[in-house]
Parts: sequence; structure tokens; C-alpha cells
Amino acid sequence: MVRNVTPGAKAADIALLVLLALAAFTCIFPIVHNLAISFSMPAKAEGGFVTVYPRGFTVAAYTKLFEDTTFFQTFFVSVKRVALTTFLSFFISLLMAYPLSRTNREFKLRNAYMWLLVFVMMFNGGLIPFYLIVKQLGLMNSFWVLVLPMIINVYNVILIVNYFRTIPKELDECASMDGAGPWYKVFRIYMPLAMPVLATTTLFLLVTVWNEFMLGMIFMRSIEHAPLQTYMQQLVVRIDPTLLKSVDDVKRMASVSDKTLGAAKIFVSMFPIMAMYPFLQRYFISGITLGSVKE
Amino acid sequence: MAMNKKWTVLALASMLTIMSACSSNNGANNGNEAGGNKEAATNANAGGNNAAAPADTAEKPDPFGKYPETVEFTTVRPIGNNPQFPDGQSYEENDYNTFMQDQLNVKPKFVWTAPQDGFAYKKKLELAINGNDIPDIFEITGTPTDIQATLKRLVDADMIEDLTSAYEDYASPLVKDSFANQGNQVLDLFKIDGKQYAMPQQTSLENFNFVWIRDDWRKKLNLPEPKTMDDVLAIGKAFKEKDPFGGGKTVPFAMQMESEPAGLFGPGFLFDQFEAYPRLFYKDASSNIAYGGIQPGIKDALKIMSQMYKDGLLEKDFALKDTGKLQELLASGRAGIVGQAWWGVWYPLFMTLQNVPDADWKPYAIPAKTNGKINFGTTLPVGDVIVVKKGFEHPELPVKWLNVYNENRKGEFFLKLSQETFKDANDKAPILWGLTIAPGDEILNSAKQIVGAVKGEIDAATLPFTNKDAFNNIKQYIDELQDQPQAPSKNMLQWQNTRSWYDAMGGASGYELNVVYSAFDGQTPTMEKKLTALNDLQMKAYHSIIMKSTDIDADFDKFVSDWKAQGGDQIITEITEALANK
Repeated sequence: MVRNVTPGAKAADIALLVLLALAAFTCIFPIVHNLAISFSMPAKAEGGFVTVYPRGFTVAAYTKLFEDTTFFQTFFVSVKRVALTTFLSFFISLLMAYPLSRTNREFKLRNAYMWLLVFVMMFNGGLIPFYLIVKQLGLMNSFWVLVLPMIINVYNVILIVNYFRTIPKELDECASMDGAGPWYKVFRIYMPLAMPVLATTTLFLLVTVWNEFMLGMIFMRSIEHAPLQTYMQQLVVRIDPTLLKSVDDVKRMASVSDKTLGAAKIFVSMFPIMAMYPFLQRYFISGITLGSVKE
Repeated sequence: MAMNKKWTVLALASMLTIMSACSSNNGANNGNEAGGNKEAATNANAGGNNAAAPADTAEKPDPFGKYPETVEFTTVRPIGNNPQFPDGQSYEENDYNTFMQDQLNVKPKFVWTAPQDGFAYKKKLELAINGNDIPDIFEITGTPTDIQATLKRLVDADMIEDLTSAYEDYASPLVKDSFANQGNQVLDLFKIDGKQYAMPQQTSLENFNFVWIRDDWRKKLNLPEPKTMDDVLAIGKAFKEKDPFGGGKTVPFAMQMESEPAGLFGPGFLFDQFEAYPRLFYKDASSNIAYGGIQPGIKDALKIMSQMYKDGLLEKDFALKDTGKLQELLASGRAGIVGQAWWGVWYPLFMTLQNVPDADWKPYAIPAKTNGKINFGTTLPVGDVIVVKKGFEHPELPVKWLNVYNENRKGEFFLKLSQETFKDANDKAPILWGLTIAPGDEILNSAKQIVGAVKGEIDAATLPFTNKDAFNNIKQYIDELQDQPQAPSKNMLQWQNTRSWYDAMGGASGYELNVVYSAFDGQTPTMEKKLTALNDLQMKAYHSIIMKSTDIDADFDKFVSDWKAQGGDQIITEITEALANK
């Protein structure tokens, strides 16, 4: 990197670096803090003595965590759910996006469908109609209620549609000349070329589905069948002390407020997503279509 | 462009049709379903036990009567987080429930369970009610105001049974006496148009405010035990000067003012000194409705707090702290004095001992200068309620269930179960609808018995089973342990029992008590609209008086007139009317 460096530009560079470092720090600090708490002695954590490194190092919280069967039951529900949802969503979004990326001439009702999609993206009937529909479809307490409502994310579909539209028309025409039908084009031409956007939307969905807790809370019969985040949400919510009704409640409060165990759970529940990121990162390289068309 | 517009219109129009079609469908389905459910319910019951039950109930109602044939009913239940039970036990199937089922020959069928903390249960129940999908018998949780609102909706939609006669005919003498002990006020909270629609829990933690003091520091600094609030303030000042924690980090008074009256680390112990109850609507000496937050006693307490703030006895940022932050402060061992209820050692004061093995917290009941009594203002001792779905054949079932539970809850069977089988469980009494219906002074009376036995005034053998455990622990602590070094942290359980039952409640029982109940626990129209803003106004006024006011009298008068003008007077008028109409 050879550049003409004026003092002003250098100062700006440094300022930017500091700013970005600060931004990065604010993102990383909570995770480090949480990790430090999870490896600390409960008493030290309760007393607020822990900041970036563990005080009174212990893995007791993790030992305790591995005895928590509900945690792992819900963990596997989450994994199953995320795998199924992203897999289905990948193909269904693709199949939705392709026709919607065609012109009005090729697909007469395109705009109508598009409006409908945009409309449902912005407005919905609210929780109670949703509850009634789920009930009447017989999806209450079924694993599928965690999956089906999450499959189509209109925002993601629109992203894919727009990406398809940036793919040179000439490619499409070429394929047609060579006798490729729509199915062939979707899976052999568009899908590979759209990998960057598909990876992005998949990642979005992955994170959304992993973090989603309402469906499990509302529709599952008991917590073992709910996803991990439903279980987690109930752990980190603060208990209202004014609702204490008996000495047993008080004692339970003391056992619930185990900060280190909570921190260990939070860390373990974050782990799959953190581990997934680097692998999807490599698809975020655009410019794959470069060179396929000479204009 | 024209083309586009046409499409837009068409699309919108078609959507409207789709939507309206959907909603009308839904409506119709709902109606059908509600009807269908009802029919189904009656049919099922008619098939099952119609034949035997009515004849039985018509003759003579037996509060503990066993049903001749097993009565099955659907229900839902709130549960604790992360339940850990012995093998074979769960929230749905456990020895407690089995006992109850055997006593009455009933069988609950759980439609779903959801944790109570974090409002999952409340949310699910809300949806079930809105979706007309309620089980036969269920519990409603929340504050009395919330429950009343839910109850009103259920009654308006004609979804639940009137329990008036079920209660009259079936409630056991014990249950009736316990309610009567509070003038039936708790029952009355859930009456609509004179009809009893819910069976409430009546229980109180009897949260008198105690002044908890780090007794190891007090002894180290050779200070006498406090008898009056002035003594307490003097101890606070000594903590400030001598800095027993070290490094200038001692916090003489740990206090939060997120909400004033919660009894949890708040300034309630100071307000009690002046018979002032910051959030309470109560009947004053002349039987008029008064609001505690604007009484002159509050001003006197605020003056003391303002002085405390100037002297550095409170943290500079105490107004910003919530209970979570206070828990942290107390656990760290920096705090010297804190206001909390008698059970403070069970949560969170024991945490101090984990960080500071030499620590010892001791509660002191300080009678008020004004009237020489222990003052305490509180809402009615009410908890969750149980309601019965309209059309359910046995509306008396929950009444009987509560009879049996309350007759047995302090008995050997249940207590042994929680001490033995459920020793290591994190919910030691996972019973369905374990709603206690107790007189309002149950804890105080227990404490009196325990203290009497420890002092040898009562024969320990005559103690009810429920108090034996506490008695044994206290006896051991006082006779053998308390003079050993680090006695509290090495004998946590004995210490906790001693400090809570013996020192706190036992101490309070030596004084004359003045319990002021709220006169009204519902919600008037103006309350609904303005109470939040008024509470906010009150909190801000208190904060500014404590932290920066130079003329407290003038500022407090201004707050009082603001409060009255911004809806306070209106609320008092409405409450007076509402009570007159009862």
C-alpha cells in the first residue's frame, strides 16, 4: 500500500481506527464479561467483583449445566428446528424468488404477488388471530409450529429477487438458447450465482430462528418441547420480588439467582451461532459473475 | 404506469376480500367452537358422573367428601424454572398431587404447563382466554388489579362459573375462619355484582420493615444495640467515619428507591417511623380515604433522608439503583445497614457471608417515635385465584381441593414429604393449586410459639410440626453455636432460622403492632389513566427533595398540591364512591 500520506489523512486514519476499535470493544466486552462470570465463584459474581477475568476460577457452573437435562433437550429441539427451517427456507425462498424476478411480460401476476408480499411484511393480524389459526390447523404443541411460521421471510425473498435481477439477462438468454428450462435455470444458473445473497439470507434466518422464543412459549405444552431460547428467556428474566408470597418463594428466589450458571448457559447457547459465522463468511464474496459476460 | 396503478388497486381489492373472508370465517369458527366446547364438556360430564354427583350434592355438602366416581378435569399450571425433582416426580405427577387426588378421587389432566417467572404462564393463559380455549379449572396469577381485570373479562364473556354457593356450601370451617380473620375482604375483591367468581389465595409474608445491621461491624466498633431510629442513624454515622469495610468503600445505608414500599431494600423503615405509607390508599382515623404518599409524615421522613444524603450515609446514585443492583451491593459486603423484611437472611443477605466469612446480619424492630408501635402499611394479603369454566359439572371441586390442602399443609405428611423425598428438589412443594388460605398473622403467631419454646416458656413437645424444624435450628444456634468464631457463615441454616424467626419476627412480637391495610385494591377509571404518571411525579418529587431541595416544606407542599390537581383528588373521590356502592 503506497499512498501519499498527509498528516491530516493520517490523523483521520487513526481517529477512525480508534473509533472502530471502540465499536468492536463494545461488542466484545459483554461476551468477555459473561464468559468471566461463568468461570467465577458464585459469591464473587453476585458481589459484582467480576469484570473481564474470572475471580475465584471454577468450572462448577459448567458441571452443573451438564446435569441440566432440560437445557439439552431444548438445545436439540433448537438444532433440529434451525436445520429444518433453514433447509426448507433455502429452497422455498429460491422457488419464490425466481418467478418474482421475472418481468411482467413473462409472469403476468408478478406485481400483484409482490404487493401481497409487501403488504404482509408490513401488516399482520396480531397474536390472537395467529393463535386461532394455529389452533385450528391442529399445530398446537407440534414441532412444526416452530418451523412453518419461520420459513418465509419476505424481506429475505425480496433481497434474493433483487439479486437475481442484477444477474445479466444475457446469461439467462444464453441458457434458454441452449435449451435450459426454468428448473434447470433456477438450480444450475441462478442458485450458484446467487450464493452470496443466499448465504446472507440463510445467515439472517439462522440467527433469527435460533433467537426466536415466542412460538415455543405460546404453543408448546411444556418446556422440554420448546426451543432453547424459550428456556433461556425464562432464566434471565428478573423475578418481581413484590410477588413473593411465601418463605418457599423467597428460598426459591435465592436459588434462581445463580448468576454463574446463567452466564454459562448464555455462553453455551451463543456458541453454535458464533461457530457458524466463519464458515458462511466465505460465501460473502461478490463478483462471481465477473467475466461470464463480455459487453 | 397506468397499468401499475390498475394492478395495485386490484391487488388491494383482492386482499380486502381475502381478509374479510378470513375474519368472517374466524368469527364463525369461533362461535361454533365455543358452542361445541360447551356441548362437549357437558356431554363428557353427563356421561361420566352425572348420575351420582347431583344426588350426592343435594343431600348434604361435605367439604372433604370423596367423589364416588373419579372426576376428571382439565387444567393448566404455573411451574418453577428448571425443575429438579427426585426420580418419578414431576410437576404433573408427584406425591403431593397423588395424595390430593386420593383424598377427593379426582384426576387432573394437564393441557399445558408454563413457568410463572418471566410471565410465560400469564401470557399463555391470556391467549387461551382470548382464543376461548380455557381448561375446566385454572389459576390466574398476577397482582390483584390484573386478576380483577382478567376476571371481569371472563365474567363479561360468560366463560366462568359463579362460585358463590359452592363456597357457601363447601368451604371448610378452617378456610371460612381464615377469610373471616381478614373481614372477608380478600374474598370480596373477587366478587362481581355480589357473586363470588374466584377462590383466592390469602397469604402474607407479613413484611414488616426491619432494620438489618452488620452486627459484626457494630460489635467491632463497640456500639450499643439500637433502640430508636436515632440510634440507627448514629450507627450509620459511625460506619461512615470508621469505614469498617476499608478503602472508603463502606456504604452505611444500602437503599433503593425504584419503588418506595416494596419492603425490599427500600426506605420503608423510615416512613414507618412517621406512620407514613407512600403508595397506600387507606382509611384514616376519621374513616375517610387518605393517600399515604402525601401525608405530612412523609415529609418528616424525607427530611431525615435528605440529611442522610448530605452526610454521605446514602450512595450518591442511590436513586438510580434497582433491586438487582442492591443485591450486588449487599453480596459484596460493603453495606452496613439495610431495610428489609424478616426473611432477609434467606435472600439475599446470606450472600454477604459467602464473600465475607466474618459477617453477621441482625434485624432490629424499631418502634415509631410517634406512637410507640411497629407500623406497617400493606395491600391485602392476596395472591393467585382459581376459577372454574362455565358448564363444568363440579364447581365445588376447587373449594374442596383448597379445604383439603389447607387442612393438611402444615401437617406431618406434607412437611415430611418436603423435608425427605423433596429434600434436594428446588421446588419443595410442587403441589397443584397449593394456595394457602391463612389468617393474616400466621407467621407472627408461629414466631411467638417458637420464641416461647426456645426461652422455655412453652413445652417444645407441644409445638406444631411445622415449627419444629425452625425451633431445633434456633435452639442449637443459641445454645451452642453463636459464640464460636464465624458462627453465621459456618452454620448458615441455623443462623438463618435464628435471625429470621427468633430475632426478627420474635422481636417484633414484643411490640404493639399497627397494620394498616389498603382500603381499595381495584382500579378506578382515573387510576387507570393517571396513576402511573402520579407515581412518577411522586418519585421525582421525593428524589429531588432528598438530593437537592433547600426548602423541603415548600417543595413538599408544592408536590402535594400538584398530586391533588393532577388527578389525585379525583382518584380519592372515585374510591370513596366505589366503596360506598359496595
